[in-house]
Amino acid sequence: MKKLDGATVEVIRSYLFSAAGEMRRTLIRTAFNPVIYEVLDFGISIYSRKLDLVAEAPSLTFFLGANDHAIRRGLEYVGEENLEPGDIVLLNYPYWSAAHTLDVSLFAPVFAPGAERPFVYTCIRAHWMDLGAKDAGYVLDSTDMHQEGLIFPGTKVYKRGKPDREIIELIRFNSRMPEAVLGDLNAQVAATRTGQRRLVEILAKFGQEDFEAAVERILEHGEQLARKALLELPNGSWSAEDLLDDDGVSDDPIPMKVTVTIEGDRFVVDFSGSSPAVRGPVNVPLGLTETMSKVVFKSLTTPHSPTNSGNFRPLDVIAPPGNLFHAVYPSATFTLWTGIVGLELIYKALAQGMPERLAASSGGDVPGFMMVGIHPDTKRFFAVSNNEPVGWGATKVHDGANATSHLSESLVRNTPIEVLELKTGMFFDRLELRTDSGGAGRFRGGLGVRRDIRFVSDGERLSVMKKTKTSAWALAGGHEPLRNGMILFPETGAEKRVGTYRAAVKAGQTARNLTAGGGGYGDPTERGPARVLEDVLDGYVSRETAEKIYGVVIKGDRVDEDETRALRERKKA
Amino acid sequence: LKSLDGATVEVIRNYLFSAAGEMRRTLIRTAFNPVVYEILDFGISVYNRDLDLIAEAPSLLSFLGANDYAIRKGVEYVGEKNLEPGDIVLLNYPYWSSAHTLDVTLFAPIFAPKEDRPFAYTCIRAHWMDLGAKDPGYVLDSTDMHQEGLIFPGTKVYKRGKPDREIIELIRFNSRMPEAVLGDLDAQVAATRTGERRLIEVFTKFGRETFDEAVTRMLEQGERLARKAMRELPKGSWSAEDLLDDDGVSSDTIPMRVTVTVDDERFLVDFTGSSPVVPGPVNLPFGRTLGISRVVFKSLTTPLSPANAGNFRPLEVVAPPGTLFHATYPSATFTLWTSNAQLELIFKALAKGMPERVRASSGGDVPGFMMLGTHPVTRRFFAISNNDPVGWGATPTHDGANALNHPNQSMVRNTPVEVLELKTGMFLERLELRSDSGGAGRYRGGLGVIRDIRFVSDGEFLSVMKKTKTRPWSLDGAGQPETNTMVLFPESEREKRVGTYRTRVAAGDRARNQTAGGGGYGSPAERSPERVLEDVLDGYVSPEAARDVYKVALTGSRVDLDATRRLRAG
Repeated sequence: MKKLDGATVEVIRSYLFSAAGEMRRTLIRTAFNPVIYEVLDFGISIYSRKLDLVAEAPSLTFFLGANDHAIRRGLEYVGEENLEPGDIVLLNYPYWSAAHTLDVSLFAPVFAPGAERPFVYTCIRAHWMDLGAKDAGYVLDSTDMHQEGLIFPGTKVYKRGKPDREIIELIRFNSRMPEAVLGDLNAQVAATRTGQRRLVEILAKFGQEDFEAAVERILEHGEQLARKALLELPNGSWSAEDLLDDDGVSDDPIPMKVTVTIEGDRFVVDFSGSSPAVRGPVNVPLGLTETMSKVVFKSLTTPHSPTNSGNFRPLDVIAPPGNLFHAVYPSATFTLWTGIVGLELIYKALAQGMPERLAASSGGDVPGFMMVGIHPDTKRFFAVSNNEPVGWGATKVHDGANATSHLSESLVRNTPIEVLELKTGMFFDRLELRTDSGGAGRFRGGLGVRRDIRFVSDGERLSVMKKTKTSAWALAGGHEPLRNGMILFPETGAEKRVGTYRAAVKAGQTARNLTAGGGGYGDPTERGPARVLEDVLDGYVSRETAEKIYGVVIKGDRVDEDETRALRERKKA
Repeated sequence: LKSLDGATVEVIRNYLFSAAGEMRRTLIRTAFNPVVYEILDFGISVYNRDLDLIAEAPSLLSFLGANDYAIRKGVEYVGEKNLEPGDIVLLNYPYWSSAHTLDVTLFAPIFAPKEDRPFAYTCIRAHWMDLGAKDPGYVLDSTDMHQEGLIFPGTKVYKRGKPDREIIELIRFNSRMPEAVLGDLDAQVAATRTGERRLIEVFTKFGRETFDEAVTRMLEQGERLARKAMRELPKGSWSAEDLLDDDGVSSDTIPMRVTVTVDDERFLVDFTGSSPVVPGPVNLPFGRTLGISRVVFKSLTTPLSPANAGNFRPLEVVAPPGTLFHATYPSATFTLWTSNAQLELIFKALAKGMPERVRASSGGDVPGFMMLGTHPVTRRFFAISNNDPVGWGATPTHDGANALNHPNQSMVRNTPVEVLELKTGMFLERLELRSDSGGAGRYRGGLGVIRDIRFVSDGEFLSVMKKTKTRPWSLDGAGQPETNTMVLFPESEREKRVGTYRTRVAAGDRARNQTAGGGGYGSPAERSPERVLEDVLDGYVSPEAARDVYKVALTGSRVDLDATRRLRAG
């Protein structure tokens, strides 16, 4: 094989990313449900013939890694030899697709004209609205996979370019929201076809040989970057533990443990000490555990370069089958939130070895909520969710960011208030930063938010968060932030603080989502009094906390330097 | 069209019934799960090209009528023009298939060689073990269809004779018991192919013209028989009401009402006035309501001749959409037990107009139970049920039969004790007639049973019965029988009497199924003392009931005639 010049490799690489980007734009423009076109709850990836990731489009981080696992399992199941040009395959068997049943992966082989074998694959995962699970919206208390909706093990929904009527009709009859679901399926198909056109184009332009050589070079380059960065990380082995609130069926907290080992050019993430799989739907398929680990690994090694599978060659992920982090059939997996808490757990372990490179905990979790019901105007069934922002953790050199989507979802957006008010029976009385929610420290954790919801129609309200019973972690003597929590029916006799919970609501009732701040870094009494004053004037920190925690006495809008000095000395003593 | 001789019509009719019978034997011999091969929980029907029933094989009564409705809806959905030789279609969308999701109907068009249109259809419904509903086994508290498992709206599982891999695999991945389910699917396919061969044979043997003419003649004869019998029925209009226990979600009782009107031309069964649909899974698809009404109508008009569509032409059934007896999407329909109470409700109305033709209530319901769990020996998942027998109602001329399957299930069998003990974690300590359970009367209702169950492994136990809060009805002043009841954990601190219920059980726990007797007929004080004595000696009636209810005084094993006379006079 001739040696390609770097410029050509770069042109082909950019071409591939443009193809992924164009698929993304097609999906956003054609999808039916706002979780896709507003929240960007999807993942788009392009694979080489050997199923190495060669390009992807920015979207839900978790979905991207999950695609890598899913396409391998899906292809193994269908068999490459059974794929024909124009075929499109659906996969949502959770243990293979590496997500819950509603995150449906659609993959397709791409053939050059006249070729017998595909030269690349595309994979598009998107969140569908309903596949007839035991409950509409989110399932919070399933005890096996079969309660979680229609399963596609790798089902050809298009055969040789034509839709399979039987499968399309099965979907229509097995969904509570068939128009939205089939609309989203069609959007994924349209995006797949867009990708196919571009990929066939690029192959025709450069030829098979150059294309394959470029792919090899792209992957090698990805690997080199990762290995180089890995050499700069400290070597060692660090463990961390945490508790997941519960499994949705019992109230028992669930122990999680990870050990991360860095040794030369190996990076091993091992979940062996975590709880065995539990009855409720918080078990995580191995592919998602791999993905969590990939997110962490990439953020430490090659955060600025687009992803390809070369990046991950130094990474090993271990979770024994039957463990919380390696669900096997028929374990329930619907409430994927464990993956979010698990992601932070890996950082928590690493922070022991490299506190200067990492932020403290960012809220610990994603505080989501959802309403399902009959729309007051359209009289049609809706199920619309929103994942609320949290405060990010402080680092050795700066405060955490306020009210940002959690690390695990950093490429997705929240659902705009206008969409929520238009498409559901919710009206928002208030959305503001939550004073004192950031963990105090020399550098302060970012602030979470408070959102007041008033229901204007009857329905069901769900909250989804799995770390509300224990606080998120801080670093280097910083303080833990306030926790996530949803307050149902605040300031009434029925007031109740909940984590993951499903409740019927009536028009006129209210709920309040309080989201966690980020963990603090360093001793709060070492924070510059001027910064504390600024926080107080901005409403980030209350005067009481300034005095009690930060040891800063504020009179009017000034720091009382003498009293502050005296107070901080007393605190040290 | 030439006129056929009666002998040829009869030969073709028998040929068709033999085809159905052969399908039945194929199904029984090849099915994987005992609900099919032991209990005969299936329905096999043969239709002409216009979808008129022309033959069926004896099996679950309410399945047979349901097939008639299902195949019309299924062919309408798929479109006759889209059917090709060798196609086999799955249907379990409850509002069309007229049953719950686990009763999967499989229908197939039959084409004569080189013909463009089918000349007949076969339809085989069988109870599958699992399609991934919210709970394994029976679903008792669903609130919409989607919680009840994978739905086939009319899905070709075979296309031109070949299995569709995508559909087969979808079934495999969406079932908790894929081997049993795919085994039963294959059995239904095998039975379909058997029927196809025989039907093509008869069609080829006699030719299209003769075949079509014979079918027309069969249907006309079926209609004539029914109309003739109808002329002999009393004319009038009678209503009855009853209460279903609950919907499985709340504990409110559910009112049911029927009015039956018989005139010279028409037998009208009208459920208007019954409860609107309820949240829980006791709503009935309309095809089921039709099927149950047919069972009653046929039993009164043409009970001894095999069924065909002609038999039912005088019958009209009304149930407004959105009511308990006409569920529409997405109403929950899993617990079909409503139809047991419904069958009896129709008889209850008719008993007001023709008490001499109808028996009293037969237990009011089907007292079923089921265990599911991991088998202690095989370590595999099981879900096996049994419908216990009840006592049948008394008539103006004789006592009710003891311990028989409810009239709604009179062609099916129970699950043998040996099968239950082999395939589940239950050991059966006792199965005996339940003394005093039959309604007292001049003619006594038949007796129900007591069955004592001891669990030998952990699992879940379900009882399914929907008429335990109110008693079954009697006739002409007789006593009402005891109701069905499941007693969980009897003689322990946890003892609890339940109707429809799901509970976890551990090895060593016990349960007792007490099933209802039949309603009595006439005043018990008019029953002959010798018969009462015989009942006491047989253990059917206790000495106390003999004295207090029948007013018969016994001394040892003799009737004390004087004392009896005094009791009956007092």
